[in-house]
Parts: sequence; structure tokens; C-alpha cells
Amino acid sequence: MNRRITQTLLIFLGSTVLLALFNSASLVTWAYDLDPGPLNDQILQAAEGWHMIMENLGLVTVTEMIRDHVRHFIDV
Amino acid sequence: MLFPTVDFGIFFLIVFAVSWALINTEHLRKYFLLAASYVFYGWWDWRFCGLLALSSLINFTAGRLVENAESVSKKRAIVASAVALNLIILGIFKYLGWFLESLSDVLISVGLERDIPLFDLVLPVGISFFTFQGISYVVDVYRGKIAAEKSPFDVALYISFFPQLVAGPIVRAAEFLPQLKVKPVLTDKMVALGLVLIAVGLFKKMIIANYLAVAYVDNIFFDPESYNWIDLLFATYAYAVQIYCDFSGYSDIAIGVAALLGYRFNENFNQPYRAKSLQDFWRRWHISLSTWLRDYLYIPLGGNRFGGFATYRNLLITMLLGGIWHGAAWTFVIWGAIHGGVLAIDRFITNLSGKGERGIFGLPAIIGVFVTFHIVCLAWIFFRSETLDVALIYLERLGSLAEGELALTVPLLLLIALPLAAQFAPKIWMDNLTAKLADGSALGRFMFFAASLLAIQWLAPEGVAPFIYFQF
Repeated sequence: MNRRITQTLLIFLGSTVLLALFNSASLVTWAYDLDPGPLNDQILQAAEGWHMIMENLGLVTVTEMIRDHVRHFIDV
Repeated sequence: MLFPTVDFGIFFLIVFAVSWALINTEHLRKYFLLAASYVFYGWWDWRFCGLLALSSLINFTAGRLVENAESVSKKRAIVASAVALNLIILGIFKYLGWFLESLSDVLISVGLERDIPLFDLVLPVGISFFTFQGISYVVDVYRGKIAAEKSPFDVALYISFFPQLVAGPIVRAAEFLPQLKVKPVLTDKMVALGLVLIAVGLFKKMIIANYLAVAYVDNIFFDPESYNWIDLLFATYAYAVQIYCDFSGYSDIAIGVAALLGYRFNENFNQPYRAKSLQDFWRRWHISLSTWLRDYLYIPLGGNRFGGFATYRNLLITMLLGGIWHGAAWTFVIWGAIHGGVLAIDRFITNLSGKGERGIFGLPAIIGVFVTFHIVCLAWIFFRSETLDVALIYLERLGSLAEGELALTVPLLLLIALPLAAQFAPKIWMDNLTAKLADGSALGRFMFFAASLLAIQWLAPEGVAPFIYFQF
């Protein structure tokens, strides 16, 4: 792979990590909505475990605070 | 698989990495992209992958037969059969139920009650789009614009390529197939364009379109009798903004994703609400559909070659069929009739006055923008309403200046006004942003993309609403 492709792949991976850090609740929702499969329990446990770590780090609070402000502003 | 989901994020990461890893084995890369496209499509319902394969096979075979046929009459017969087959498949899934239901209603109304079997088939996602792409391939081979493909896999990839498969843009064979013959290259400009278009598309869809839908438009169109005329008026403007952001957002993401895989799609929207006439609107709105209808329907019908009346008739037929393409409902027929009717009247007036460069009906350009936008909004009322009755109630309450409590708020007004104002912003802003990102470092591109995704996730309402054009 050439340098530009590697860089772009890293852009996607880095963005994914950032989303996983600040938006871990979506991972839990996604894991719950998965079609039945042999790995569902493990994926769900991993997603919930990750979300708990983000909660303890306070990153979930940042997201919820911003979302509350936006919702309040738009009045949804 | 919807674009703004975890599923698609994982899918695209794998497709991006593997497809570029296979760059030196071009055949393998195409097979991989084809398989990925079928996985993408099968995510909704794997049974319809067979339909997609059938469509590809019909059009590939027709292309070969057209090229090998010795006489023009034979070529014509093959093209006509292929187009008919494509339309029959589309008709069975999309229109048969509606036709039988309408027939049953007519028979009952004249006292001839019959037990007509009613069909309730599941509509395969994207069938209207890939049917039109298939037709364009066969017709372009017939017209000599492209050579018939020797590889069925190239035709299958053209018809099923996942960025445009379910909601366009409708890519022309003559534009896409030649790109499969050369080794794709990923330039800094393409990376920057891809990232900017994906970020802009997600912003339009997930923030503007979704908020307008959940906070205002859906409620008012569900029960127009409970709202006053100001809300009905602004809900129409809001829907105009919502459908623009929803559909052009999807197109932006599709064009961006294709660019990141090394392929170029043409622009599908160009600030449509700044159009000074309806003709100008159709040069800016869903450009891939309007040019398809022009090249494969309006011009074959005779276009404007046979004088006034024939031109007006062709405009009306083209737009009526364009309306029905969206779905089997009288609301879409009326939507098409409004567009076709106004296009014909405008052509008649401009032919009489000779003021072709001015706005609609020969009006000054600035008034033309205002009038055109309101005609488009009137047609959107039919397009959005669940039934014809709801649309008529909506218009009746709007026309009678019905009173009631106001639901419109200042933030909603801003969500409507700002995207409309952006229609008049210079397009150079986005070009400059893309150029700056292309010239800058990879770190700059990462910061832009990551910050955009994070901000969109924070600002967007919860849940993922499907794109409006998925139903077509």
C-alpha cells in the first residue's frame, strides 16, 4: 500500500477510535441491535464494558451534556 | 446498510483497505468490489441479490446481442426487448399492487365488484435506480456511445456498485465503465474531496434533515388539521429543506465514498433553490435523473424538434413519468403533472415573449427565483403527503388561513432559513476547503474529518432515520 492510502486508512481508524471514546453508548445500542449470532454475547459484553470505562473516565458525560444543550435549544 | 451506521463504518474500513491492497491485481479488485456490493445490498434482504444479478445478466446479454446484431432493425428489437424486460421487472415490484388496487376501486365505483387478487410485494431497495442504469447501458451500446462489455462482471459491478446502488446518483455506463479499464489512483485531492463530501453529507442528513423531520415536518404532514396556516406554510419550506439535505446528503456521501475508492461520479445537486425557472431547477436538482429523463425519454419522444404543441406534450409526458418513477401513488402523479405543466406553460410564454434568459414566465430573475421556489414547494406538498386527501386538506387549510397555536420556534426557523441562505453562497468556499485539505498534511485531514464526525454525532438527534429516497 502506498503512503497516501495508509494515511487515509489511519484517518478512518483514528476517527473511529475518537467516536468509540466519546460515543460509546452508540456501540452498546448497535450491539443490542445485532442479528442473532454466535458472537453476540461476547460483542455485547465488550461494548458494555467499554461503555462503562468511558463513563468512569467522564467522556460519556461530555457527550450527554452537549446533546442535552442541543435538544433543549431545538426543543425536540 | 445505511451510510451513517456502525455497520457501514466497519464495512467501509474493510472495503477501503482490501480494495487498495488488491490494486495490483485489478481483476481481483473488481471481483472484490462486486462481492462487497452484493454484501451491502444483501444486508437489507439477501433474496433480492438474485434480482440484482438477473438485471445485470439481462443487460449484459442484451448489450452483447445488440453489438453482434447485423441489421439496425434487429438491434432495435433487442433494445426494445431489453428495455421492456427491465420495465416489467420494475413494474411487477413497484406498480402491480397499485394498478390492481386502482382497478378494483374503479370496478367497485361503477358497480362491478370483483375479487381481484391484491399483491403486496416488498419493494426491493434501489430497484428504480439500478433499472435505469441497466437501461442506459443497453441504449448507450445501441447508440454507439460505448462498446458492449465482454466481461459480465464489469456490467454487474457497474449496476451494483454500492456507493450509488440504492439511492443514486444514476451513473451512466459511458462514464463509469471506462474507469474500470484503468488502474484507479488515490490522489490527495480525491482524499480531501471524499472526506469533505462525507462530512458535509452527514451534516446535511443527520442534523438538518433529521431535526426538521422529527421536530416539525413529520407531525404537521401527519395531521395538518391540527396546525395553523403559518405552520403549514413553514412546514412546506421545512420539507423543501429536509428533502434537499436528505437526498443531496446521500449523494454527497456516495460521491465521496466512490472518490475514496478511486472512482469519479458527477455532481447530482447544484444549489437547486436558487433556480430562476423550473427548467433551471431541473438543471440543478437530481441532475442524474433529469439528464437521464432528457436523454432516454424526452429526446426519443421528439424533444423540442417538432414545434410548440409536441414540445409541451413531451415535457408533460416526461415529468408525469418522472413522477411515477418515484412511486405508485396519485400524489407522485400530481407532483409530476405540476412540474410538467409549469414547464410547458413557461416554455409557451418564453416562446411568445422571446425572454428566454429571464426568470420563469419571463419575469425578472429575482422574482423568478421566488416564484419557482414556491411552485416547487407546492409540488412538494403532494410529494410528501401520505395520500391525496391529506394533501388536499393541507392545501385547503393553507388557503383558508386556518388558525391555531403556533408550533414554529426560532431554532426551527433558523434550521429552515440557514440552508436556504446557503443556496446563494458562493460554491468556491467548498472548493477552497477541499483544496486546502488536499494541499495540507494528513494530520490536517484527520483533524478535519474526526472533528466533523464527532460534532455531527454530538449535534444529531438520536437514532438513524432512513434516507427519503430509499423508498424509491
